[in-house]
Formats: sequence, structure tokens, C-alpha cells
Amino acid sequence: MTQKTLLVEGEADQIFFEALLRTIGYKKQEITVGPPREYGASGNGKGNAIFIFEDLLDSLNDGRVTRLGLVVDADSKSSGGLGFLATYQRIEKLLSPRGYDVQTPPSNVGFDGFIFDNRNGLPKIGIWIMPTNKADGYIEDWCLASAAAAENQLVAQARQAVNSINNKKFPEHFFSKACTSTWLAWQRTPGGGLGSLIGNKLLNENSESYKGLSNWLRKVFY
Amino acid sequence: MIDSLTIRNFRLFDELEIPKLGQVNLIVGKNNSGKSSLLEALSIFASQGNPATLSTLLGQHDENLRFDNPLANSDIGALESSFRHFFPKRTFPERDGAPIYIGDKNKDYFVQIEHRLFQEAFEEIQDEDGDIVRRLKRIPVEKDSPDLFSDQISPNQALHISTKHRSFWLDIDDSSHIRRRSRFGGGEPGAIPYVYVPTDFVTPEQLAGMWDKAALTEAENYLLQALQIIEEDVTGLAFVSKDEGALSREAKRVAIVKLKDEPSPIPLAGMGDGMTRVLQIVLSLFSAKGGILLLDEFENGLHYSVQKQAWDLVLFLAKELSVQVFATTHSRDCIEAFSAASIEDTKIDGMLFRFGKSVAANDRGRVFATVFTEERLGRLTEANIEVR
Repeated sequence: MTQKTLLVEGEADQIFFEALLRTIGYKKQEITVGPPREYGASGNGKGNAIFIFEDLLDSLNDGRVTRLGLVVDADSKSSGGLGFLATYQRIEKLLSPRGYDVQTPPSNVGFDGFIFDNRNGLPKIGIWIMPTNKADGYIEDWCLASAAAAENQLVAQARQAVNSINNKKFPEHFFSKACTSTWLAWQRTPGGGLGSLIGNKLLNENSESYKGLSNWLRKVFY
Repeated sequence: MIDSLTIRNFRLFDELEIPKLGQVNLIVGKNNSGKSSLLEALSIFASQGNPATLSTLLGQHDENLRFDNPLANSDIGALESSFRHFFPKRTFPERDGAPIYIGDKNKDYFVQIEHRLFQEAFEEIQDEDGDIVRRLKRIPVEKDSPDLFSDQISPNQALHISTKHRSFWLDIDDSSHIRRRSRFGGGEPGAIPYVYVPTDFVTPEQLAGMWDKAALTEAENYLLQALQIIEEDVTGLAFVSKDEGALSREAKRVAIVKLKDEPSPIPLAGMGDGMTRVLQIVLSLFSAKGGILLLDEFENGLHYSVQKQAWDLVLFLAKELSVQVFATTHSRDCIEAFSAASIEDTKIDGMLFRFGKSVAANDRGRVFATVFTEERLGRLTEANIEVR
């Protein structure tokens, strides 16, 4: 385990961020990207990630972890998920007592991502709540917003296709997940994971969302 | 049971706060991270500042030997004393107000040890018969008192020890009093019984002494059970006199064990360190009944394959005998065995503390403890994450 750690929700996100970190110039394994299960949680997902995040925060004190970032989905409040604000508040509850300057209510950081300084001189902490650090949603929303220009037509068709289904099996708030999966299903190698968006250069590196996330990673893992 | 622990200005602890202790506590950390110092602090706490305990602790590290005179260059009239080793940087503090403090804030129970300068003066008091009597009294002198720069006074130094129940002066001149050595606490008002089990093995005589207290009690059954962890064929244990020849004044006693298919008993010492260690641990648990047991390097002499069973027995007896256990270890196997045993044993709370040094700019180098409940510890060992 290297000391720079990026905690994410699951294996798909792990592969995605490992690819993104390589693309923006980090060496392989320079930063450990891992889902909660790798750190001893009984499962993956946001709840487990925030649970494990607390362990990792404690490991900053004696330098076992030297840099720490957390990426989770805001999820959808209207469908019973935490949503952006409650997700932020859950994380804030862990950070404030440990001396991090966490603003309440959250500042409107958008695609800059959250970076919190520590009053006791511990390393900064990075928090990114997908997709925009202010609205409900998922990493897939971020992916759709970051699609390369050459992919726009395919993405539009994927949206149309998903929209046109009668009697959808998935609930409405998973619309972006369905669109992203459809988009990925129509690639040269159909059905790749989120990581293939990076590997196959399907994202617009100059989009505000892509640049924002990359810069945030650079600020967290300085 | 000690609920929480605050240690200030003791050895390498500037300020250590452990808000919640378990009934059985395992302490890990790198070398010189404070594991043994914690056990020492607990001995002092349990003995309520008992002078014999303080001397014993210094003797364990040969800190009662004298090499130098650390206060020689200070303004305060220097006095060599091995007690300085208890203070941060192995020096008596230059100012008042930085006493060693070891306490359980949840129970308002503490020991405070302060290095003070004092002068003696006679005071007059009335005795029971109404007669005026004069007696010598110690009057503290502040370390920053301007009087110290004049030749008017030449104060002495001593430790002033306070507990919830009393306070007293302890002379620190190494030559001034006879030091008793003791591994068993007690004596001071409010003292908690405690037993310290060092890393080295006890002598056969010490084992025999502990055995005498346990023999013919319920302890005997558990001792046999403990030995069977190491060697399942053991069916009996006894201490017998060893013939040292006619010139020997006292007969030495040694432990012998009976094995199932062996016609005659075998000396315990010939059966490996594991046997001696489990015997030592279990006898100590009985000696510490209702108090605390301090075990330095639990795994000593114990093969990894038997550590889980050893912990099972320790946890069980800790509950049965109301003993609060504090053990240190370097061994990953020992941590895993402890974790598995304490999760399995639902009647008892196991906790692990890892000592580390802070990297935060504001208190860099301060020793602190990361707390792992048995649940958190189990999760991490399951995921094969190193907690040492």
C-alpha cells in the first residue's frame, strides 16, 4: 500500500481513476486507488467508502497515509439516496472534529472540487462529490458531460434509445447510468467499463468537467 | 476497571489521551514508541505512586545506575537521582507546573508526581493534650523564585506525590533510602492489585511461589488446561524439591509435568519456553484477581499456532477473575490471534492501541494512540491490512 490514497466507491471507479491518473502524468501505482472492500469493508458503495474514509483519516496522523482523496456519488435524494447536501454533511461530520476547515453550507466549488486545509498541519484532504460537487447525480453524469466532440452524436443517440424504451426496468434516476452503458455498448469493443472512456480517448480533455477533475487530483496528490 | 487513561509528562508521553479502554487491551507500535512506558504508567497508577513500585521500574532498565549528573549545569542545586528518568527528556523539569500525571478522568482517580524544591522549617502545632510541639515541615520553594539567586536559601529536592487519597514527599537522593523491589503492587491507599509480567521468563522459584498461592484452588484446573494448549498429553503438574546436594541450604523447587503415556514425570523446563510462558501468564492472572495484569510481549515463547488458544484462555479468565489485561506485542500473528479470539468471545471487549508519532506540523513527534475496537481490528486483519 502506497501512502497516497484515493478512495472510491467500487471497482469500476477504481479502474477509471487509475486510468485518469496515468493520463494526467502520475506513475503506475504512485497513488493507490481502492474501493472500500480493499480496506476491509464488508462491501463497496458510498456508505462503506465513508466508513473506511474514517480509518484512512486516522492513518494521516502518523503518516501511514500521506495524501488522501475521496470520490463518491451524490446519488439522488428524490429516490431515497443521500443527495449532494446530505453526502457533504456526512463527510463534514468526519472532517470538522479532526481540524479540517470545512465550510457549512458548502461553498460553490463546482468543478474545482473540495480541498480542505487542516488547522493542525496535517495534509489537505480532497473530496469530490460526483458529478458536479453541487447537484445530485452519479459519475456517469460526469462522463456524459465530458464526452469528446466526436462522441456527441453517439451519446445523443444513446439518450434517444434509452428514452424510447417502453416499460423501463430501471428507475428514472438511473437514466444517466443507462445512457452511459448504452454509449459504451456501441464502441469498437462493446460493453467496456468506465475506464475504457479514458483508454479509448472518448472524453474531451478540454471540457470544464475533465479539466476540473484532473486539476483537483493534482491538488490532492501534490 | 480503568475506563480511560490520561498520561502527561511521563517518559516519552507529553500528552496521551485514551478515552476508552477495554477489559483486554493489546498495545502495538514500533520500538521505542511507548508500549513499555504505558505498562509502567499503569503500574504507577495501579500502585498509587507506591515508592517501591517506582524503584522497581527504574531497576528494570538499569536506570538506577548512575553515570552522569544532568542537573550539574542548571541553576538549581543539582542532585543526581535516577528518578529523573521518568520525566520527559530524562530531566527534571526546569519549571514547576509540569508534573507527571497518570489518571482516569472518568473516575476522578489519579497519581501526580511533581519534582519540587523545598526548604525545611519548624512549625508549632498543638498536640492532643494542648501542648505546643515543634515539628519539621517541608515548605515548597518555587523553581523560579528570586530567592534562589541569593545565598539565603539552599533548597533540597524531592518528589511530591499526590493521589486522590493522600499526598506525600519521596526523597530522591539515590543514596538516601533503601529500595525494595516488587513486582506485585499494593500497600498504598486506593491501590489496585496488579501483576507485571516482564518479557523475560520468571525463575522456577518465582513460578513455584505463585503456584503455592494457586495450588488446590480452581486455578489448578486452568493451569492444566493452559499447559494442554502447548502439549495435549499433559495430565498433571506439580512442583518438587530438586536435590542440590548436601551443601545447598535451601532446596530449589522445579515444576514437573506428567504426560499421558510416559511412566514418569518430566521437568517442565525441558519442554520448551511455551509451557513456562503459559504457566506464567495463567498464574499471573490469578494473582491479579480483581485488578490488572500487565503483560510485556505476550507472544514470547509462544508459537503462532497456539496463540489463538492462549488468547481464548486469557479472555475467559480475565472475565472470570475480573482482571483488566494490558499486553504488548510486536507480532502480527499475535494481533490476528487476539482479534479472532476477542471477536469470538462476546462477553469481553477487546481493544487494540497502536502508538505512533504525530506528523501534524502543530504537534510533530507527539506520541498518540490510534484506537481499534475489536470490530474494526477484525475488519482490517480480515482484509490483510497491517495494523502493527
